[in-house]
Amino acid sequence: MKYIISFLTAALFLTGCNEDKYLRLPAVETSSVEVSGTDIILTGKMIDNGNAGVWTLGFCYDRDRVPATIQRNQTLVDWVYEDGTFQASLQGLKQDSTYYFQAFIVTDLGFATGEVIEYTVPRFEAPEAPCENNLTMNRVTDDGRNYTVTAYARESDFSETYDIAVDCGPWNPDITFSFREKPVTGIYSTANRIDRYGTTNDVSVKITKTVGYGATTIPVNSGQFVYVNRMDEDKLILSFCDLAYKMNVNNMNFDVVLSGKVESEVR
Amino acid sequence: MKQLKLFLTALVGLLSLSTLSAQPAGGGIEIAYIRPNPTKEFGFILKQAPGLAITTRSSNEYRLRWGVSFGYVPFKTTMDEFPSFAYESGGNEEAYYQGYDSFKNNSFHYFYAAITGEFKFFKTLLSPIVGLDFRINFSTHTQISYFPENPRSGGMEDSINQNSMSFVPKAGVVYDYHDLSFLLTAGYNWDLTPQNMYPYTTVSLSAIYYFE
Repeated sequence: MKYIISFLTAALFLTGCNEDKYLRLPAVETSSVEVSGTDIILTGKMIDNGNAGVWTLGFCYDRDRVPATIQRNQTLVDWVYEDGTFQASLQGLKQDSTYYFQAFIVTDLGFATGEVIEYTVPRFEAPEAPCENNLTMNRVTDDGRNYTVTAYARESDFSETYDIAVDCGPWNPDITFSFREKPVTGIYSTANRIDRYGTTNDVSVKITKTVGYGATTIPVNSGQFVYVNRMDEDKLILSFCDLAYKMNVNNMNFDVVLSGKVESEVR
Repeated sequence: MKQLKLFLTALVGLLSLSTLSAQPAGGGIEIAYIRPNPTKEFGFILKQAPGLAITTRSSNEYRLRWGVSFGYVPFKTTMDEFPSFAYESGGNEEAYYQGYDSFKNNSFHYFYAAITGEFKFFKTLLSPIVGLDFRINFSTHTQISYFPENPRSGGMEDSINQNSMSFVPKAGVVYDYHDLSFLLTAGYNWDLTPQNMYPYTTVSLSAIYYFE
């Protein structure tokens, strides 16, 4: 009889004692929005996974209004600290504009969002190239020759980069600045290869010019600097001082430098 | 519909089995209180609910009794709307889309047919019992899904029928009084399907009249 009563009691309360193990909707907190350099750093915290498998954590945001759904400007994170904290870094947001940020979590049982944080992106201080005083807008000096140029900014479908193409006129060199993603105000370092595994502060600079009977494309040396003086939703300005590259003519190498300042509409 | 046909076929099979094996000596009703296991999705979605079953029993002259039961439980959902999501990936991009699922009228209809058996420990009027049910379960509900930012998904309705088999080990007490038996039992529905569709605790009170 004792065993029967025990079984009855156990069956009655089998699922009643372990509330910690109950399935429930997850909970997440939007902890803070801060600026670091020209990056906006978002921090969130997973409060409760609801005892369900976590698919992802991330942030959504919108300008001038609370994001209606989690897919609005969604940025996902791939690392969560042991205490449940997670972070994401955003670049290229419009300066002097108010954004609304919200953390979210997706589990097997659905999703949950944290509270909304309103944040005004500050105007970042524009970096100045060392030779700034010697530069004129939309003028480029290559190998001692001066060119009046036109610049076009666009996202490259082919290489998945954000390119600024500088046209120095017919029969003159073309210069391409390839950023891994839309640049922000700041200083970028030249690199020969830009891909998704590189750092976001890399830029590939290549000059295409006619040498002999054909066109050749030459990258500038790595480790030099390109200054993005202005980058917002309307306009981009970048400047560069004495970017060195090697040009080969008749099997002879020449050291050449490139300087200039260009302005482009942002698309 | 396939699930419903399977359930009805199993129901007819159970009825035939019970008729061929032995004529029932008694019949009655069973009121059950079902508590979906809250550590499983079934319990996350559905509230606890009372159910009703009709049941038969073999002769009460023996300590081992068996019969068949047919029950129905009208569950209600724990929420009006369940947040859901869709996942999309392509190339290096991945995205999660926010959505919602709801159950039409917040209803989830659960039916079961069972072969039920109990063993009475003592020949006294009041005695502890242990027993085992073999159940064939069937459920039906209409699920409505929508994604706010996808106008094409404006409230898709989907009628969902499911079935499974399960065992319910149970224990309790029986009180035999003349031609009547009252059983109070508690058990746990162990679903045999890999999806573990209907895990729940059940406490039931049965009243059976023996006409033979």
